[in-house]
Amino acid sequence: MKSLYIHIPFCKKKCHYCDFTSFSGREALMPEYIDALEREIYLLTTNHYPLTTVFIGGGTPSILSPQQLRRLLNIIKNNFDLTNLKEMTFEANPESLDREKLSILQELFSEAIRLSIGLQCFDNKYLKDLGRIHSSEEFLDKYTQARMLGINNINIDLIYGLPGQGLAQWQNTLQKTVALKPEHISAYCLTPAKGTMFDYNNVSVDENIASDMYKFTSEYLPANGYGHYEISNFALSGRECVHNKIYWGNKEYIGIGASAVSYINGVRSKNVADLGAYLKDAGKKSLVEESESLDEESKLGETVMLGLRMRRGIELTQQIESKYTDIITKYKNDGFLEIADNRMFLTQKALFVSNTILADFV
Amino acid sequence: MRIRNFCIIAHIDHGKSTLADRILEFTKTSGYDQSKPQMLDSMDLERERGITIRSKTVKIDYHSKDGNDYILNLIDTPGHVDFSYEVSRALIASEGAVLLVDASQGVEAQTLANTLTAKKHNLVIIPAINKIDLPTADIAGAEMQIMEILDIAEDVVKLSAKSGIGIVDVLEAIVQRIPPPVGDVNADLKAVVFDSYYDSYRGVVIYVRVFNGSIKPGMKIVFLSNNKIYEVLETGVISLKMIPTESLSGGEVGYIVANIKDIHDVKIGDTLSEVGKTQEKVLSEWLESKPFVFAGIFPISPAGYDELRLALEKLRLTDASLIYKNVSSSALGPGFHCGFLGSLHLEIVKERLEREFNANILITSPNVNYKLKLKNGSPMIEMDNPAKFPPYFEIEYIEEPYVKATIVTPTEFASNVVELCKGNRGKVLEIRQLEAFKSVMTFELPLAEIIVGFYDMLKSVSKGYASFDYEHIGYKQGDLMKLDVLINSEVVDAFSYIVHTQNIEKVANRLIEKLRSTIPRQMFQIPLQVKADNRIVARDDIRALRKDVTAKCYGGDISRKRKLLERQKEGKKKMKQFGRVEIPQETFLALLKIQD
Repeated sequence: MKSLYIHIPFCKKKCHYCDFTSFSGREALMPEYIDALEREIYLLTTNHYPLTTVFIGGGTPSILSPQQLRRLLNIIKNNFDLTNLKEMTFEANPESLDREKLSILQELFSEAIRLSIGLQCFDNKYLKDLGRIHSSEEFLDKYTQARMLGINNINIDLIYGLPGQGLAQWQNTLQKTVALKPEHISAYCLTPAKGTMFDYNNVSVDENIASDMYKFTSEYLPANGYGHYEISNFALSGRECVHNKIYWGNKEYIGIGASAVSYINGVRSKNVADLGAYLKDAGKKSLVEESESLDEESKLGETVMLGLRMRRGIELTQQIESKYTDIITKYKNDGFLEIADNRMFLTQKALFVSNTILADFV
Repeated sequence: MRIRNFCIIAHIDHGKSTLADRILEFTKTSGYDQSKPQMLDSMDLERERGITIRSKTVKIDYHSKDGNDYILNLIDTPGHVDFSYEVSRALIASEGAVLLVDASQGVEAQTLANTLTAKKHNLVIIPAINKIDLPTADIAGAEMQIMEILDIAEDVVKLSAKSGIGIVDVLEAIVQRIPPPVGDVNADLKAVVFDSYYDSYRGVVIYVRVFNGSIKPGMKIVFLSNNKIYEVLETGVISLKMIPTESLSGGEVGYIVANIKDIHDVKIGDTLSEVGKTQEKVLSEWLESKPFVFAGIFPISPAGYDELRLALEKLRLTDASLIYKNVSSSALGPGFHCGFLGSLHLEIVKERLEREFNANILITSPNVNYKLKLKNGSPMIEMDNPAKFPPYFEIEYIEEPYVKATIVTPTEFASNVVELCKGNRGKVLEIRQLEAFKSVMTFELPLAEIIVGFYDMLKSVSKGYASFDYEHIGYKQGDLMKLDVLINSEVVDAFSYIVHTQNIEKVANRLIEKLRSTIPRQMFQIPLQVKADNRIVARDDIRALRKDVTAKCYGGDISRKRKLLERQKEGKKKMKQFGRVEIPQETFLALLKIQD
């Protein structure tokens, strides 16, 4: 059983915080890109892999035209065994989502559909600062349409810690989000990653405000029924993202598309990110740009690093216990780590400083 | 054989190494390599810093205008005040010195100090003005300063080493003005050691100047300072390469290999005689390099202790001036307390440990040696490690070392320089204002005030023009006190600092500031305090870390994230664990520069 990720590297406009592979103004290449995806999938899946989860991410998958979207979804249906499919996440931005595309998703994947909408913030001023090209009103309109079409598993992506943003403004966004009763909320602290517009403009995140915002988020959302199951993720009961938990559980997955990463048989490999190279080579020769075969030690380090992101933590195996005895004791004594029912997990106060802790485990 | 033994003395940057290069080039001395300027500076460090640390020697064949062939032995001298005792080494072996003065800079502090040393050794001095073709050259001014400040009336040779102007004039002046060495080749051996270095294959190679007699392989020689006897295996001359010879005779300069394993058996200025023959010292005493600056060197992780010990042992073989002893710090664990000639020497040792031995080390803030009179009536004790100072109430009084500093500066900066010295507890001894718009000043200063940052400050108050040299003049009583640094409520002995009572607050606040700005925030709040005689004189906190998180981590981010964390872990490894607090190297480096 596998999980599949498909990358759609097209955007109307690149957001100021985005460091994913995506191109704007190249939409004319989308049909060709879907052809290339089909070739890559065809080469990979002669034996119809059974899939449990699919995640179409970007970029902006909703930028595909209805016809292109239908074609992509059919390629997936025709090449994989979807008998046991549990979840098919589709990422969308408000400006390009419409009734027709929502209907196609609903028609071809019905119950498995999980819609992930990028809202980021309810305040139009901050949306502009983020480089978004939609308003919060437009988001509300599309969200309502999705609900009316019967899509019953929706995630809303939010960002906090924006330059100039105060705690009250963030609380307002959270309250309005909760009022919509989405099944899932991802709340990310702004990270001015290298190569992004924010990095270029030397934007920095106020540590104190950001950690106050995080503290509020991790009290407010659970109080409203959203379980805090990963550093930045909250979900109603039974609505945690199955696909993402594959990553945090350090399980295997297949990535398709430009820059997509796969993790199969202990080898993590990344496809070429250059669009031209991808279009040219997909289905013809190896697309792998970089790959890494993980030894047991790195694997274990990753298992701990990823697993401790989740509130349920990891199973405290004998191997982990003996390898990290001193580190575990140190963080346990300081109240950053807890052990219960043979599981080890980070405490609430540890989450927002988790890199310091996780660094000791890799 | 027509021999001239000479050295070049100059203030730093006045062109000594360039002149040596030109002489080697002009005389086509074998092995000269144009692609490597400053041929005599063989250590990478020397070339990088543009200073000569160790003196070297080279034999040059020169065909003079008078029609004769001469052997010129150029004995190089170091160019930094820390190593000024080494200047004397070169002088032992020479009959004359080329005194090089930069035409735009004029006479500087080290020009003066070196001239005085050369005069003391009765050397013939050939004054020479270098860089005469620079647009800023003031040849007349430099000439006047040579007369006025140095009291030298001899004809001045004018040259530009860089452009190759006047090199022949320098060579001719050496031949004509410097007397040939006198010595009786048939008398018993009398030679003086003026340098040595450790060669891992041949043991210690010693550089000698033979005064009487001759020395040849097979001869049994004795060092008069310690009566140690060795058999000579090889003699030779150095012409950039070592060239073995059958012997070295009266007046000659060369090297000896005699299977000497311990460089500390070899004392500069010591006399060599033949076993069983007349034994008469050339100099009444040998020169011993004495450490004046002390600091602790510790491995970053305790596991690095053995490696560090081996590295220091090896370094000591090549650096007779380095001394060290075992020390155990409650904060830093086992390490070494080391003595250096000065702060540049400290830096060089640090860099060599890191570059040549890959040692991961921490160095504590440098200090001087103190003499303590305790109230219990016992004789004075010497103390070169502040961590080991007894409590304040047990001390009757403390004495600290002083120097006599000579500072040469354009007169417009004289008052700044006086202010600076007074601010560092200095006392003016003499101010000579010269017609040449230059002032020559002498001060009495506590050594402790000049070992860290003083030179940089002197440069900054004089727009870079003032120059500085010093000599040690003994100990004086001072109103001193130890500052203790507490991190997370525990004393870090390695950070203890001796300070004059009038500077307690200033220094305490600087200590706190350096700690606060270099210790990264950690998972808990860290109180920082400085204590003087059980009184808290400065304090601050390092607030707890609140945010260190990767908000997003999905399929494509995992490898990158793991590598980031691995790097973070590497960074942690480079920190010294002190209780629960991790202290990075930057903190130690910052405390080395506490004056800034």
